[in-house]
Amino acid sequence: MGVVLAEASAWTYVTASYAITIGLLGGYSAWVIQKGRKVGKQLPPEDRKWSS
Amino acid sequence: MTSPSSDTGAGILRLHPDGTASRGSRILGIVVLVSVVVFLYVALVASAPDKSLDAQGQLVRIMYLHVPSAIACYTAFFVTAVASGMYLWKRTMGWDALAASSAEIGVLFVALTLLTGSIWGHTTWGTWWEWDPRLTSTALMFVLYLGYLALRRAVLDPTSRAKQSAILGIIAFVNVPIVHYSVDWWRSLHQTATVASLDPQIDGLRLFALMFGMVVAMLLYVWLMMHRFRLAFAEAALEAKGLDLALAERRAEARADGGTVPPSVKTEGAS
Repeated sequence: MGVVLAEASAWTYVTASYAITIGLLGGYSAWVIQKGRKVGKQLPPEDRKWSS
Repeated sequence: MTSPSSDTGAGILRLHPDGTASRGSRILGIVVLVSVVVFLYVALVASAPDKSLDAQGQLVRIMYLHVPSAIACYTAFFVTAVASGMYLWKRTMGWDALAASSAEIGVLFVALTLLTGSIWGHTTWGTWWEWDPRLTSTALMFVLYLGYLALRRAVLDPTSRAKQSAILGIIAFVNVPIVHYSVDWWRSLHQTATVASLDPQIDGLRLFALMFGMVVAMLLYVWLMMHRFRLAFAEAALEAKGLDLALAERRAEARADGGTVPPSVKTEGAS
């Protein structure tokens, strides 16, 4: 019983670590993409050298 | 201001007309996404728990996030230092944008290193935080680069902002080797290098999960850099346009007043 509880507790910490990592990286990626579209809209296409 | 739809690709490669994506970054993004799914499968399902002498059990899976995050932040800060040096040499805003973009992504990775390390420490050492050389120097690295980002927001003039942050970007990097070698130089609660030695302490699928995690972290870093650098470049271009416009308006006002244009306005603008 103790082993099962320890295993469950370990998985809680593992899950928390993966959730934090995916959440932070996913959130930052979404912010960069969204802000890029917002700023890109104000820039004439000839200044967006990556899209040519 | 939108590009023709024929330029934006089709299907999964279709690009947003105003965004920072290119065909290359979209392909890399797909590679990153697939790699993340494979990594999650290997790290959480396929690899076995650690049953060695200092058994970590299931907790070894946190290492597959913690170590790659640390490697990614070292890389990011190295790029910041090199780009800062290049800015001081060449004085072009592209190097400044590269340094700033890499520092911001590095701060994200060092935050992840600290968070996952803290969770790992709580379960293995019984404490969320310890003023140990590795942990303390990593916290210092986090604060230094937060300071770098704060400096960039505090200085309004683009040229002096770029110069000051380039100097800080080089100085702050001095701490990175200290972080890395702190476990060898001082007595530390933190374990020494896991895979740098010729006799790594892990093997099989666990070693593969760790190495593959590093590859995924580096791919993600490159993908994020592509987008963040283009965003920084676009922001710098808009800022320069704004300054040029303000100077042109000031010149027009001066002419309308019938006076001479003040010397401060007789510059060529922000570029």
